[in-house]
Parts: sequence; structure tokens; C-alpha cells
Amino acid sequence: MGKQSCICQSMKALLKEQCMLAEMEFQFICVSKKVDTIPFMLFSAHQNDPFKAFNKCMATPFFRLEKLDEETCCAVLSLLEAVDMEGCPTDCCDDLFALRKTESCVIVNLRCFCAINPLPLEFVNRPFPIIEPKC
Amino acid sequence: METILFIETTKLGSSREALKVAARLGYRTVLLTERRSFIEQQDEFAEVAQMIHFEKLTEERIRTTINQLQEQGAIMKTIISFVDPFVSIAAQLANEYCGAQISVEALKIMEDKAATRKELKQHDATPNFEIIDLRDDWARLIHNGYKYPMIVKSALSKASKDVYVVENKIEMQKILKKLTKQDCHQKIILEEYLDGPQYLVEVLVRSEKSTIVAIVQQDITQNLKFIVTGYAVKLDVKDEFYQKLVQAVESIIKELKISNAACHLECRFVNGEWKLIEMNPRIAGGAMNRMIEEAFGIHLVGETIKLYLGIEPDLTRKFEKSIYTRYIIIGSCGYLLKVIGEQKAKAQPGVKEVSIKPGKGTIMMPALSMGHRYGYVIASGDTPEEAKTNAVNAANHIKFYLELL
Repeated sequence: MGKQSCICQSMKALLKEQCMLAEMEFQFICVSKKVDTIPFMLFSAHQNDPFKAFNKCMATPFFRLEKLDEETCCAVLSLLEAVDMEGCPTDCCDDLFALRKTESCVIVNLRCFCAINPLPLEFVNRPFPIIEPKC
Repeated sequence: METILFIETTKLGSSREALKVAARLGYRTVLLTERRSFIEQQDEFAEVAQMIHFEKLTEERIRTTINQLQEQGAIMKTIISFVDPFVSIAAQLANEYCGAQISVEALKIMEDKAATRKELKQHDATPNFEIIDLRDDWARLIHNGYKYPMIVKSALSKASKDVYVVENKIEMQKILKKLTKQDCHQKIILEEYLDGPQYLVEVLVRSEKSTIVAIVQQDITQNLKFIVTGYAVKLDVKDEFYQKLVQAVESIIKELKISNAACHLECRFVNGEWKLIEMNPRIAGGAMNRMIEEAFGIHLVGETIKLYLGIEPDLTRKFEKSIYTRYIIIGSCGYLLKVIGEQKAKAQPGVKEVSIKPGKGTIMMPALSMGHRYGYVIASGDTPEEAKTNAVNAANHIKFYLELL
């Protein structure tokens, strides 16, 4: 199996797990925060930096998988916006505190990528910190 | 080499400053500690020549260590502690091994709040109190027709831990049950609730002559507990209000037969009389030493070490400056993600020192004891009001970012 199809297979698995997360229901466990996103980054063979797409004026390397066409190995990715502790958009990894969903999408051919880096689910819609003392 | 043995310290505050001043005076400092984390952070204790860890510091272990150090060539100049409950044992060993003349019996009384109350039972400054044994039928005791609110505290409480104000019989029952679960052998003091301004008095007694080093007004925040969040060093203490306080303090010192010791008393002015809330056999912790140093140029911790060394302490005021210290407490629980504003606070007018206690990842919570105060700002001003404004303004720049637990 070649590298390109390997990524496509991985994305298929990711989409399946993401759907499972979103549909998960419990009888006895109270889940306070519904999780429906596995955030990830994509890497191509020719570049060290992750693939980025522009949302408003800032490039983001963080994505959510929305749709996958297994025939063509093309995927619709929605862009996740990185924000710092203050809720301000950031492109600095050290300042990354949370990821926010956006309406912006990009269509990619997964054959162009060789690696996927999933990120902790907790980043998505992570509540902002409380700032103390309040006054 | 001339050595000073310290029994326990805190990472910041008066007891830590004692280690630093001893090293500055040229002594070899040896620290005995129960805190394993200090052993792991030895690099941060540059002033400590040797650190020895014990899971539990007992008199026997301390004596063995002193003997071992002496065998290794240490010339033990004094043994001292600024941390409860080691003050009296350190003084006792200093008297035995180093020929100091510290009033050990008085220190022991001050270490035990029940003993202090009993010893001063007849003194005018002592509030109405009762000492109870938790093994007795306290369910019967609480039906004694107490007048609420009342103060309930453990005889060995420190830093406001295990001090409660109870409003009614149900709360009293709840607190006594809690204290029984902790340790049913501990003595519990029930005393009348006294409302009024609270002052802290730092005293150093040498050859039965007591010197009031500083009188500090305390601002208290009462939420879940009594937490001191502000300290104002008083400069003008000539009027009757303060003179009555000085008289009360001096008579307490006399009654406890203190000849050589450092201690601090916390008193409240209630209906025209000074009442003793508590007293401790050492300088107050936290920023107290730095506050006195900034206000009067007196390094009280250093002068206390001199007292233990048998040298005449110098308690002359080099200057008088209005000083206020603001402590920071919070209202939520969470993991500390970051702190901002420390540098900005330091740059504010009049600011002498900014200290932030917790590091990233610390679990923080609303104050249940003085240990839950997370930082302070010491500031000066041309007037007491200006000093307070400067400290409060600077402290307002410090913000803790917390992730909810």
C-alpha cells in the first residue's frame, strides 16, 4: 500500500472515530462537554512545516475532517482557529490554548500528504481560564 | 566552622530570610527539614550550606544530628527555628548546647494556644474561653447555652488553619465533629467572638526588657475564614489608644515571665479594651520581616538571631516610613496556567517588593488559611493612606489565569 492511500485510510479511520465520538451516548455517565472533533495537522513529504490554510488574515495548520471521498482521496477540511488564553487568534504554537471551529473550509487531495498529527481533543472549545482576583 | 542550625523553614518569608541573614553574617548554615521538596530544590537554597531531611523531625533525631555535626567539627553557635512547632525545642537545644538563655518555658506556653489561655486566665486581655476535650461528651457541651457567634479553634492551629467562627449550635456540632475526625486527642478552645480592629505587635525581649519593635494594623477579610489581607505598619503610636495596647502587651510579657525571646501578639480593641486573640513565640511569617525592615530599617529576624547568639540586638529605628502590604487571595479553584502583571506591579510608585508564591500547575483555591494567600505587594508612601493606595493599586495588576478543575 502506498503512502498516499495510507493517509487516505488513516483519514477514513479518523472520520469513523470522530463520528463515534459525536454520537456517543451514555445511560450513567454525565458528559458535560460534547466532543465531535478530532483536531489534526497534515504534513507533506517535501516541507517541514505543516500544511496551512488561510482563515481571515491568519494561516492555521489545524483542521477538522468534514467529508472524505474515498474514490478520489479528496477531503473537505474545516479550519480550526488557534486562540491564546485571552481568546485572541494566534499563530504562535507556544501561545496555543484552544481551537475554535470556523465556517471556512478547504478541499485537499490527501495524496499530497504523508503524515497526520492528531491533537488532544481538549483543545477544541476549551473553556477560557478564569482570571483572578476578579477585582 | 561556626555553625547555626535551623530547624525547618518555609520557602519564602521570615524564616527563609533568617537563613539568608545567617549566611550573610558568615555562619555556616545547616537546615533540618521535613519538606522533601526542599531537598530536591537545594540549588535554590544557595545560603544553606547543608540540608538534612527527616520524614519527621523529633527531638531525638535533632539531638543525634547535632552530635554528629559536632563530631564532624561544627562549632554550634546557636540552634533556632522560626517555624511552629519547633521554636521552643530549638531554643531548648540552643540553651543546652550553645549556652543561650532563651525563655523556653514561655515559648512552650505560647506554642500551645490552650496553655496560653490558661496561663493568662486572670489577665484583663484574655477573652472568655473554655477548653474542651473532644473525647468528652461534647454533644452535651454544645447545649450549654453558648452565646453565638463563637470562635472554635484547635490549640495547635497555625496560620488560621482550624480556626472557625460558628454562628449556631448546628455549625458548632459540625465543626466539632470535623475536628474529632482529625484528631480526637486535640484540645479545643471555645471563646467569645470579639469584634474590633486587629493589631499585630512584634516584641523582642532581652534581659526582661521588652521592646515593641512594630505595631501593625491588620485588615481582615472574612469569607470562609478570617484571612489577613492587609498590614499597615503604624508610625505614630504615642496616643492613648496605642499606649494602652503597649501596656497590655508589656503586662502579658511580664505575666508569662519572658526574659529573652522574640514573639508577636495579635490583639483586638473591643469596647475600649485590648483583648489578646493569640500570641506566637516568633516573628510573624510572610512579609513581616521585610515590612519592618522597610518601615524602620530593623532586620528583626537578624536581631533575633543575635539574641540567640547572646549578642545585644540593635532595635534602633534608622528611619520611619509608611508601609502597607497587600496580600492577594482568589475566589475560584483551578490549575494555575500563568501569572501576569508582576513586572508591572514592581514598576508602580512606592513598590518595595512583589512576591508571587505559586508556580505554573499549582492548584489554587479561595483562602481557607493564611497559606492560601498567593502573593503580596509591599509599598511605601508619604502617608499611611498613600502607602495603602500604592500597594493596592500595584496588587491589582497581578492576575492569575486558572483552568477550572
